[in-house]
Amino acid sequence: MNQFSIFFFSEIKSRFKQPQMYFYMLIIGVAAFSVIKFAEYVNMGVYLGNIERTSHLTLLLLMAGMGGIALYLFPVFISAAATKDFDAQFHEIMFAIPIKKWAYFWGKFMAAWASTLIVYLALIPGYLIGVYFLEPHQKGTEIIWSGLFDGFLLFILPNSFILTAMVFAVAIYFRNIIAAYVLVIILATCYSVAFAFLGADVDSRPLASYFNSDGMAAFSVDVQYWTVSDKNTKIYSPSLLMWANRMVWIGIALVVILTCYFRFSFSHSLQGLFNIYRKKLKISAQNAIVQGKPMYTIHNTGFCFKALFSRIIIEYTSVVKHISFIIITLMGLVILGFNLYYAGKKAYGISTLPVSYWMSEIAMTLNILFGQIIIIFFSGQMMWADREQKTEAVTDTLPVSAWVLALGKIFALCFVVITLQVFSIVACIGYQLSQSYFDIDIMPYLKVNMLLEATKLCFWVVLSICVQSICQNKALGYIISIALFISQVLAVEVGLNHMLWQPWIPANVIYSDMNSLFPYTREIIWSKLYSFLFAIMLIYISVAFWQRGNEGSIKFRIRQLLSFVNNKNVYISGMLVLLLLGCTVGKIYYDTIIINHHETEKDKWKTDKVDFEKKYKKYERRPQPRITNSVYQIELYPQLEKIEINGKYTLVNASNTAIDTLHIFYHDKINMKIDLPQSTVNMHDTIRHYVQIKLITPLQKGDSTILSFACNYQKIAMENWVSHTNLTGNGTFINKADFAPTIGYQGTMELYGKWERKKYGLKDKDLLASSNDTVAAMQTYISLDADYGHIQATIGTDIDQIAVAPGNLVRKQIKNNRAYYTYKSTEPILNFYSFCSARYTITKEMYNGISLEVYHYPKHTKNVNRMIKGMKDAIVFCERYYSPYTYKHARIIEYPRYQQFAQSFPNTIPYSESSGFIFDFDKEIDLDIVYYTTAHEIAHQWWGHQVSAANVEGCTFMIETMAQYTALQVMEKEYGAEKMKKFLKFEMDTYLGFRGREQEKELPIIINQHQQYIHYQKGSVVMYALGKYVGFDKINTVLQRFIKNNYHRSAPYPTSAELYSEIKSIVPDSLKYLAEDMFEKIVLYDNRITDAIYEKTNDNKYKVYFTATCKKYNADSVGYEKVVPVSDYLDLAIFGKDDKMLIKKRIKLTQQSNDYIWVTDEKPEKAAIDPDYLLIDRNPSDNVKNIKESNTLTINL
Amino acid sequence: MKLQISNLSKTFANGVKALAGIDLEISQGMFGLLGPNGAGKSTLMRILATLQEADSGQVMLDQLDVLKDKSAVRQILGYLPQEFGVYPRVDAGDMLNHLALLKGVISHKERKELVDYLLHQTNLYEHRNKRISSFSGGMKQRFGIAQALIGNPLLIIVDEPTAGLDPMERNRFLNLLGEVGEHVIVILSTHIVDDVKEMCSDMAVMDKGQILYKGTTKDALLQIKGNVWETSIEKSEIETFSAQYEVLSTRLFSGKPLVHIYNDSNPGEAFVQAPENLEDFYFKKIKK
Repeated sequence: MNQFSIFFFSEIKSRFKQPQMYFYMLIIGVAAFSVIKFAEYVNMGVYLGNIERTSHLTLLLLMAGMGGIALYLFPVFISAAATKDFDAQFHEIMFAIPIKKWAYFWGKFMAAWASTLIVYLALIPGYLIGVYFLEPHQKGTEIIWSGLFDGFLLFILPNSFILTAMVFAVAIYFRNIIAAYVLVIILATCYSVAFAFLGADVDSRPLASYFNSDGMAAFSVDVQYWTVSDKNTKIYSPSLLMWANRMVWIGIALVVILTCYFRFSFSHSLQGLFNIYRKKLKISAQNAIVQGKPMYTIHNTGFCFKALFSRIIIEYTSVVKHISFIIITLMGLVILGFNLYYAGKKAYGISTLPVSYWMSEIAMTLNILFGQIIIIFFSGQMMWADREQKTEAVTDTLPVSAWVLALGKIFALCFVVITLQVFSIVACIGYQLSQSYFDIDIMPYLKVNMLLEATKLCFWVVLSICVQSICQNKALGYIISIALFISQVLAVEVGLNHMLWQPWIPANVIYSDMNSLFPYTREIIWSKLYSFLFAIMLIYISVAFWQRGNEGSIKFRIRQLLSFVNNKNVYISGMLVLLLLGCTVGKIYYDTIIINHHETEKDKWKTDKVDFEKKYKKYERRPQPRITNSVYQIELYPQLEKIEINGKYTLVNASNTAIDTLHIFYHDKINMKIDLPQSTVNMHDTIRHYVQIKLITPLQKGDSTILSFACNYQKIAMENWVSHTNLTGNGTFINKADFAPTIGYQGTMELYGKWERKKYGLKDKDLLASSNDTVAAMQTYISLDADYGHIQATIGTDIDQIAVAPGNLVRKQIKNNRAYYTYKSTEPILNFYSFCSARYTITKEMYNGISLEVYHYPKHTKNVNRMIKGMKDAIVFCERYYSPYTYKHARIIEYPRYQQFAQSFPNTIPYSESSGFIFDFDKEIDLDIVYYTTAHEIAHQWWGHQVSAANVEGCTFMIETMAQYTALQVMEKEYGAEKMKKFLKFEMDTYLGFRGREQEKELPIIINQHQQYIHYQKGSVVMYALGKYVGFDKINTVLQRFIKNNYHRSAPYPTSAELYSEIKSIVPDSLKYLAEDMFEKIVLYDNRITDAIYEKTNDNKYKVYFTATCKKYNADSVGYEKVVPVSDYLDLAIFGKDDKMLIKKRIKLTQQSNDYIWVTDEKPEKAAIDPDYLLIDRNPSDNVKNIKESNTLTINL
Repeated sequence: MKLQISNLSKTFANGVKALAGIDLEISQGMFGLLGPNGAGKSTLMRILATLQEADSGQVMLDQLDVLKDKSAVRQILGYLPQEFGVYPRVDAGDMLNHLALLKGVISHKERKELVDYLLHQTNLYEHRNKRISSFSGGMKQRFGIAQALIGNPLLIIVDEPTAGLDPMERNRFLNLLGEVGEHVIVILSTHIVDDVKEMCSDMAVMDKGQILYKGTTKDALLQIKGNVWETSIEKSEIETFSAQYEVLSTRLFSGKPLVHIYNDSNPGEAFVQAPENLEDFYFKKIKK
């Protein structure tokens, strides 16, 4: 056997003998299984939840996705091959033997690479088992095996080469595993840079590809617009971007390993590298000045705080002076700086103000590195340092108890973690100052980063030390710690998220300027107490297993454990801790599971819905009286999270038949008392919150009655996942439907989703009825149990808070040290409103008799003026083009950021703290999304409140799409057409991306079923295009007429189909196809300029030859596309210097490829097809092409 | 004060019998434990230093059960292990200070005095602000003894302390050890015969887990007095010579083997009587 084979095979053989290899295989296998089985919960850059997991794409993605895990998993494994001889100090003997360098180096390298590939094999069984356990519809017909092959060639083989080559090279060159870790951190930094680019706007995404070593970024860019059908059936072929990525990184890896190979020599010494650390010592021969022996007292240090303190300092310094700690910290701070800079810039080019809570959340993104990695790495390092440095014989014979040694390490590592938190906080504050943001609030840092995060990480410290203490084997300890870490991530992904399993929950804690951490107080106290006691138990276990000396036999360890427990003090205190722990567990269990029904059974909420539907669906569409007038007396106790409502509904029978039974539903966890004269309660289902009331004398057509109800709610127990954030200390925002009863069966409560329904034996159902359904059209989707009516609400709240409801404020009074606000509607409104209460500052402006008001947190003033301007401009626009504003007020009301939307209720617009109040705005580069959103919400006062859509398919077209269309025009008037281009590009990107995530079916906009990416994003694009083709004024005239004819029209409510047919009626016949394509079908274009050259003519003009191609596709509901013939009007244009438009013509194209010769006066620079990006096109960047000067030689000839 | 070891046995998981029922009695003063590498000395030392468990047997230090009451042993123990690592990135003075605190010198003032005293004693005072990892072998060893002396230990165990020291360093080290060894038990485990010869009045020879000799150094010398013979031979003769005589040692002198043999009477005229020598005694014991 030649030397190469000797090194190769002996290395491989030793791998198979070690348990590590099988552990790694297990982790890879479990990861593959989880990705396939739990795709809905796993985020890998491309969404797999809705597609068949036997597809080519799935297999490729699975293999690409392993790169992220491999980055953390393999370096230890790979570098072992490289550093083994050095670690064992065998290298001096080894290299004295006449071995060939190439055989040694490449033999070991190939072995390391081969064993990584062997570990990857575990992916296949993991995948197959995952597939086996899938539901039939998630499987597809058969596994596309070629995906396995392609994925192997495209990802596994090159990625394992790249990682192995780089890690092996640095590890063997520096003869040290730490070098490999540093490399990992560099690669991980590149990784996060790449994903920051991916999250940024569409143009910077390709850049991501180059930063990402495993090809994942390039892959997700390539398939970003794949439809469901594409994902299921298309065979991926790598793009140029992908090849470039592969080549670049393989190249880098080759350079690294070849450099190391040529510089590696058996005899090279690294001493030179670290020369700076070596100080020459002068050994002095001077005689000792022996003084008299001092007197001192020896104390018993079995357990002594001074000794502990000294241990902590020694251990702490040993970590923070460690070179790898310094490197990790510096790297982390670089990543943090990058994240801070990029996090502020998200889609739509919105910049966010560097407010403290936002910074503090970004700082936490670092905690995988500053938390888990540091903890796992240094817990092992610390536990084994004494043995590795051979100092254990000294430390282990010290007259201190194991408690001092164990606690010394635990506290030291906790302080390390806390130090890092402090570093990242200081970095955040530094960033805030560098952005000239001086309104620094220290509380989020203290409360979130220190109180919540740092303590959570300290728990991990204890856990990792405990694992190492029990294992008594560094590698095994590492593997178990890593496995624990991965399993906790997976556990959250699959829904095993009870705080008893994961003591660091509540995980959904959100810090709000307005409300701090108010809603989570109880949960935080108990979960922290639980994890504290748990940690103490773990410390007991760590000490019980603490090894001193080198006796490791099982027999001895059991004896040690017994003698530990036999200690009376330990026994009693341990039992006490256990008892307290037991009580805490009991309390948490009682609160979260018994009182608040945290679903221990995974799909219980689904079966509840199924039961609900099966039991009560029969009452759907039974005629019910309608609410015409509502009067509320609300007592709000924000600090107690308590509400009491006394209400009266006036009910009128608007149907044609007499009604003898009322079906009343209410919300979970509410105590409800219903009182109706002359009636008996037939049934009260307290589990499904349903009351059936029998009227003694049936309610005749046109008759009315009054229903009174009294309900109350108070949060008395903690929740596992805090959901009740709407009734809270400062910033209550409750929807009427959250507490008040509703009349009649609510179809919206049913289980939704084709496969889900099938699984539970329910009939397939659409969210919305067909547009011809006349019964459904008797309701508006905005409020199912009432038409336009009146309300009056008196809200009592804390004396320092202001309560807001729709209508005019008619009275404000102080009673019993509480403030009472009474609001009354002046015009009929839909039964759709909310109540808010907080300590607000009010900013007001009058316009034309309308009071424009913003109720906000006193410090959130930055965007208030632009909100008011948005309100005013939108009202001006709508009054001019549509109709007068209905109310006397328009109020924007800030609420805490537990939800992130703005919603338009009659004359009141609750607006999330984080979606409008913290945006920064740079007029030059940013879109004014605050202004836009405000205009959109104000537009709803027309589209939604002046006219309301019937509860049938496409209903949101009339409401949401029209609000988008109105806001678009308001924004274009204010900011100009260029900004619109930018805005629409983002809208297009969002639409195209979300099509591929569709769970059910993509529908044409006019029959869409509450699909946001259609009614918002596609809506913006197609309405803007229609405006550009047909004329905005013409459309606005139709809309004005529509509003006039349907103002406050109730049953039967107007439908989107009616609106659309009116719009279509003004579209010229030549463009009718366009309206049909955009609204009634799903049509996409692939427009591009393929060739463009110019020549200068003799009369100093320019002749431009260019080819414009236009491909048009018709897609079905899963995105299967068919090429359809072109017969379309498209804009073609030539641009000169500085994008000055030289010619623009709208031309009817009748074939795919079209050649033109145009003449311009000025020098042409670019040719474009559809230059304003009006049509839906997956690759808009190729719509424009630079025009080259033609070869003059040919012309002369 | 007396350390009584009775019937102490230890077999490792790999089957190596490190200690096979050892009995020893060690009283105050310096005690030398001689034996070749692998004799079981370090195992014995580690057991005495609470770092290893024995399979059977008993060790008593007066009334103190060394095997059971480890924490009490640690209170009176000074241990300089065979392989002595250092904390990287820690200065000598700081480390001594830390260890002194952990050994119970709680008072800051007393501790400083003690540390300074020990640093002076071990001639390390001027290096106190240097990292131990930058120390030479001898300095490291002296640091080791400094830390072992903290806290007035009653039982001092030094395991192979002079291996790798140059003669000057060795002398300084042994002097230091001698000073403290008068009133307490000091067990000096070594394979270097001269260490024992110079320092210890009592000694034991150990090999393959067994005690081959225990007694005073004087008695040991008496045992071989007059029975060791020396001669110079040719290299080619070594084999036949070994078959013929009980060879204790062979070393080169001016390029020719100089052989010591054990014989009750004068083996011949080529031989001269060698002065009694602890090394020959040692070789005699372990070659049995």
